[in-house]
Amino acid sequence: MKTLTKKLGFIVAGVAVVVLGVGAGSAAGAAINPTSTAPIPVVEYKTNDSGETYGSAVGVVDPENEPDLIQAVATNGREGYVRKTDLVEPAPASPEEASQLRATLGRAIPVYSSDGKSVVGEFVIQPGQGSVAKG
Amino acid sequence: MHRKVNLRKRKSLLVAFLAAVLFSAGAVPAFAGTAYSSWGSYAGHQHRAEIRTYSTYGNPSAVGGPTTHTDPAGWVGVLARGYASNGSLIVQTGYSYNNVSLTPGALWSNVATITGNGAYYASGTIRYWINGAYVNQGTTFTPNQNIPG
Repeated sequence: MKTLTKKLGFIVAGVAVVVLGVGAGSAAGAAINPTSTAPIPVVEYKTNDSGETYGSAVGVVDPENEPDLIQAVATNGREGYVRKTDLVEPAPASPEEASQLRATLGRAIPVYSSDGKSVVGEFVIQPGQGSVAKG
Repeated sequence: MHRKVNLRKRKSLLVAFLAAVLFSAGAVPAFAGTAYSSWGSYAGHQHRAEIRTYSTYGNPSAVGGPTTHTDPAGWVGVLARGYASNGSLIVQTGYSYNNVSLTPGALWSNVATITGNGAYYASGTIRYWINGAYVNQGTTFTPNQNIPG
């Protein structure tokens, strides 16, 4: 009887240690980024015959510095480029107008080859799902 | 004898309960990383934007808001983006604008959803109304995150 109680005690203690370990691991994730493995690629743009720059937008912080054609994956799985001007809608004329745009639906835009002319598929922009977040 | 059986039952129940606790603890998404925009200050108003990612979900969340003043509805828009490891854009949201006033420190959030699994980068852009026009500011990029299969 006593032995069984002791065994139970060991099991509880063991599982508690594992649970605490998992919790600590999750919390530590914020600090050490355990899933971070690859460096951010270097930004290099090429220019097509129409004079448009094309390449990946990864690593570009200022939206103004993104290439004209941004490397993207179409819904059919093909790699290509989306036009920057298609990707980001023009700014609303006023905050009042912006408030009305909150519930916009998703929309599809063409995915081109690097020439910016041949369409290889489409890219779907997800609708905005806004809400107030904690700071 | 009867007491021993009861104790065994209790032991099984306890082990099952603890296993359930352990499983749920493992399922809690870990807050994996945050990247920030530079701080913008225009006409005395400051704003900031962040992109937040979670290690177990493909839901990068872009947030942005004022730090010094209250912004009326429609003044702050944010969008979120996700990129595959090879640098290809795989997801982007449209801009979402605040429908309520944001006091200093409050943030407006917009979440993108990445389906499938694998590694991705995330970034966000904030667009805010200042001096009669919208100004855009991008965040830096999160280190790549992995969505488990």
